Amino acid sequence: MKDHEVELLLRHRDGQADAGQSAKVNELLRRDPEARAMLRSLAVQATAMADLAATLRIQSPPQRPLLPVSASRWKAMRPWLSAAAMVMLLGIVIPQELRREPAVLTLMVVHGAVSWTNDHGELQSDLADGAVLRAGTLATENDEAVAEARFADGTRLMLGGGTRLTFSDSGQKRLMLHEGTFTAEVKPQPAQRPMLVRTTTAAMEVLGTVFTLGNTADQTLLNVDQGRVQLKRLVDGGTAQVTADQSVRASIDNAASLKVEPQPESSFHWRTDLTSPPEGWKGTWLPQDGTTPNRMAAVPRLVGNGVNPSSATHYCVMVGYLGQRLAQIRPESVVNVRYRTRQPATLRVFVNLCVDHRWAGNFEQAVSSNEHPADKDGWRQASVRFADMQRMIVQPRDLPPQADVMMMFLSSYERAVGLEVAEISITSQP
Amino acid sequence: MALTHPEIIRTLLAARPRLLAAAWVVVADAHLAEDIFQTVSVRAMEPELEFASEPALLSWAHVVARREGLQWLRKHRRESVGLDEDVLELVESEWVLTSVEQTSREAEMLAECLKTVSEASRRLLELRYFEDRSCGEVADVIGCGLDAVYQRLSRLHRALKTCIETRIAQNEPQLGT
Repeated sequence: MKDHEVELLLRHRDGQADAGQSAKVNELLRRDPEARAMLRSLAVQATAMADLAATLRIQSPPQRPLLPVSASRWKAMRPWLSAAAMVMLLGIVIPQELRREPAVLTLMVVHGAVSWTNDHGELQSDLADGAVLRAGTLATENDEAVAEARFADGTRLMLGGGTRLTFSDSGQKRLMLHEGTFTAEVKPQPAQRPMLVRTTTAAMEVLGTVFTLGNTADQTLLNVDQGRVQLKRLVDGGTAQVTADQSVRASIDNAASLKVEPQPESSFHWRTDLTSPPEGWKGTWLPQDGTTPNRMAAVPRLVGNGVNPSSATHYCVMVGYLGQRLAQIRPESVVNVRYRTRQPATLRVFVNLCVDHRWAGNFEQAVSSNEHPADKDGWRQASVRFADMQRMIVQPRDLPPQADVMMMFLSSYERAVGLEVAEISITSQP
Repeated sequence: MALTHPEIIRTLLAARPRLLAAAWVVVADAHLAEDIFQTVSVRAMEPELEFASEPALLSWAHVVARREGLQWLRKHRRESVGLDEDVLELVESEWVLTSVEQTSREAEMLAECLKTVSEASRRLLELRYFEDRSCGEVADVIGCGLDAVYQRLSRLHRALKTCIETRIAQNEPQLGT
C-alpha cells in the first residue's frame, strides 16, 4: 500500500474526502487486503490512544512523556499512572499561580473575543486554544465569538456568541448560563452526581446527553438531541422530561404551559418576510406601511471586545435565536436578502455554522449595494452563494459539505447607512 | 447452555479493544466508538437475548456495533466518513478470523511502540489523538500545512503498524522450541 493511499484513507476518516475520493477509498479497500489491514491497524491505534488519553487524564501533553513505563507493566500500573499524571499536572504542568484551584476546562477552540473571569477578580482576555481554565466564568464577548471547551472526562461545551457561562467541577459539574447559548456533549456522569445546569428561569440535571441551551433574562429554551434532560421551571417548580429531538421553553410566566414539543425541522429551504416581530432577532421591527413592507431596521452591534483598539460598531440585522438551528446549508446554497439603504454602502453577509453540535466556522461575503439595482422604493436584492463566502479564520479549513446555520446577519461596517431588511431566505440549488 | 450475564460481561470486556476498533472503522471517532461499545454491552443483557457461545456473542456484537454506528452516521448526516456496507462487512469478516486477544496484544504493543517515536512525532500524536484535535488544528498548532500533517501522520501510522507486528512476532512462541 502506497503512502498517498494511507493519506487518502486518513483524510476520508476525518471527513475531508470529497465524493470522488470517498469512492476511491471504498474501491481501494474492496480490492486490497493490505489496505484493509491498514484500516484495522488505524482503528486499533486510534482507539487505543484515546483509551490511554482517557486513563491518564491528559491535560497538557507537551510537558508529559507519553508512556512512562514499559507496556508489560502497563495494565498493572494503570491506577498509579493516573495518580502520577494528576500529580504531574498539579505540580509541574500547571503554573504556580494556578495551584490554588484545580483546572476545570481546557479550551479547544477560541475564535474572536473570549474572556475568563473568576470571583477573585482575575481576568484573562487573551485566551487561545489549549488554555487551561479554573472554575470561573467564560464569556464570548460579541456575536461572532465562539469558544469550545472540554472537561477532563471529555464532556464538551460549545459557547455561541454573546454568552456568559459560569462553570465549576468539584466532583460534580455545575454550570450557570447567565445569557446566550451553549451546546453540551455530556459524557456519562455518575448517577449520584449529575451535571447541574442553571439559568435565570430553569434548572436541569444531566447524566449524559447532547443538548443546546439558550437563555435570556426571562426565558430558557432547551433542545435535546440525544439522551434525556430533566428540566425544572424555577418560577413554579414545574418539571419536564425532555428526550431526543424534543425541546421545551421555560419562562418566568407560570401561566404559560411547560410544553415539551418536537424540535422544529430544519431544511435547505428557509424564508421569512417578517410578517410579525421575530423573537430574539437583533434589529427594530417596523410594520408594513403603505407600499413599504414589514422590515427590520439595523441596530448597532459591537465588533471586538470593547477594550481592543480594533473594536468598532457595525449596524446589523441579525437572525438567530437561542441556539436553534435556522436551516441547513451546503456549498450550492444561496443566501438571499432584500434590503435597502439610504446611501450606497458595502455590506457584510455573515453566517455562523455548526456540524454535529460543533462549531464549523464563520463565513462572510462583502457585497456592494451598487451591484444590486434598486426598485422604485429603493429595495435591492443580494444573493450570495455559500461556496463563494470566505471563511473568517484559517480553521477549520474546509467548507463543510453541509452544516446547520445557527445565526446569520447583514450589516454595514462603521457607518450607519439606514440599512433595512424586508426578506431573508436560504435556498438550495441541487 | 446459554452464556450467563457474568460470562457475557467477561467476554465483552475481553473483546473491548476489538469492538472499539470495529466501531471506529464505522464511525471514525474514538469517543463515539466507546459509546457504541457501551450500548452493545447494555443491549447484550436484554432478557430476550441468549448467546449459545462466545463466538455467537461476538458475532452479534460486531453486527450491532456496525448497525449502531451506521444509524448514528445517518442521523447526524456524517455519511461522508462512512464506508460502503460491503466494505465494512469485508473488513469485519477478516477481523473475526483472528482472535480477540490478537487485537488486545496490538493495543498493548502500541504502548511499547509509542515510546520509540521521535519527540516531534509524539507531539503530533498527542495533539491528534490525546487532545482530539482535527488535523487542521494540529497544523495550526505546530505551524505547518495540512498536507504535511497528513503526510507525517500517514508515515507514522505505517511505522507504528510495522512496529506492532514486529513486536508481536518477536513475542510469539517460536516453532520447534
